[in-house]
Amino acid sequence: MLLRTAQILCHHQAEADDVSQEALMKAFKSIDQLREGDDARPWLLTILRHVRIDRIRSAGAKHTAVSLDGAEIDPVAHETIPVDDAESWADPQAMMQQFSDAQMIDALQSVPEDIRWTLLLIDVEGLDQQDAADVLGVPLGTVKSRASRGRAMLRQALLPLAKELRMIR
Amino acid sequence: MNTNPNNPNDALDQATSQRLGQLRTMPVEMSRLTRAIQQQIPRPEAVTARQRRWWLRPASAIAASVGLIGCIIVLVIASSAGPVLASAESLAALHQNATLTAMPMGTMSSACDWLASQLPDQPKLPEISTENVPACCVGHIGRKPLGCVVMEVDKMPVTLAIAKAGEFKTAEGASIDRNGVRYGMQSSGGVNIITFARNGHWFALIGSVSAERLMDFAQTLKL
Repeated sequence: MLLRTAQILCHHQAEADDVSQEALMKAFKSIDQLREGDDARPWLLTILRHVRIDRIRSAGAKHTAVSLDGAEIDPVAHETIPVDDAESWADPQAMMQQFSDAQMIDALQSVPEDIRWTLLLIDVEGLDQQDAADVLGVPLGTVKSRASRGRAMLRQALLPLAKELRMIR
Repeated sequence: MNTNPNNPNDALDQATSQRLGQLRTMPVEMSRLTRAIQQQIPRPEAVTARQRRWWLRPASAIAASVGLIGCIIVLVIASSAGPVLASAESLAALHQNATLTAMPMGTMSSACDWLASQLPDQPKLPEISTENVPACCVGHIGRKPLGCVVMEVDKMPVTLAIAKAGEFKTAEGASIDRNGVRYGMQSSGGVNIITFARNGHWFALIGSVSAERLMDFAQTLKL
């Protein structure tokens, strides 16, 4: 779960391995924070998120050209909700199945990191919205709106490919 | 996910969400991560080996050496320094043990030779005029050895113990001076004990005869 999330978050396998390794070592050192009966998934994903943010910040400090926008949540930056071409997606269930896992991941990696995190937690990992809000440290309403906006952004990212594959005209 | 089937965006969202959920079953390559984590976790046998070799570390080795030398010094001082107290009980036990374990010797001369071979650093036996063939053994008080000769005085076994002067001391008690020699007198368990020092030697005579008789016998020893 941790490695899969890291692989979807990061653009390179080596980076995903490093982030997962660091997160697991931190979790190992602070395992006493986890109480009996707690769901370990939100706890682990929170650690992973903090590691990811730290690494992006660290990379940004070394190379000032690297933007921190991906790590820091800036709701204003994503206020523009993409307009779905609903008519284009005539049979969304069937059409979605046409995309490979790799194409879905590529599309996910094209959306901003805070949106990507939301889709990863709610749709990929199946966390409930409150747990996702806790992991991300944002209100429940923010998670709901990001999830809806994120799915629309994902479809926007998939549209060119769908046209290329002649799934839509 | 709550959806409204009449809302085309809800249907799109549901389809998108379901497709994303399928990524949960995507196979993940874990070998590199597994190797990296295994390298970071200390192996139990490595820790054990390190613990086994703790004394090889310089500071630990020095501390251990100092501790060991200190222990040896304390033991040596405790075992060798100062005279050992020869209590009445220990002398009575020495006599009882000697009468049971002493080896009979053919002559007084052979008794002297045997004790000299066993305790070369201890004084030689004095000339003893006995009524019978003596027996010899090496006795101990505390950790210190001393030569013992068992003989008969008035048909009763008497033990003569001999050591260097200053190696043993007797408890404060009754004493008597006779012919320029001070005899300490003790008794324990039905045996009388006299102790005295002459010519740099320490002697004890122990037996179930009177202290007077033991002192008389002591007078016959030719040092």
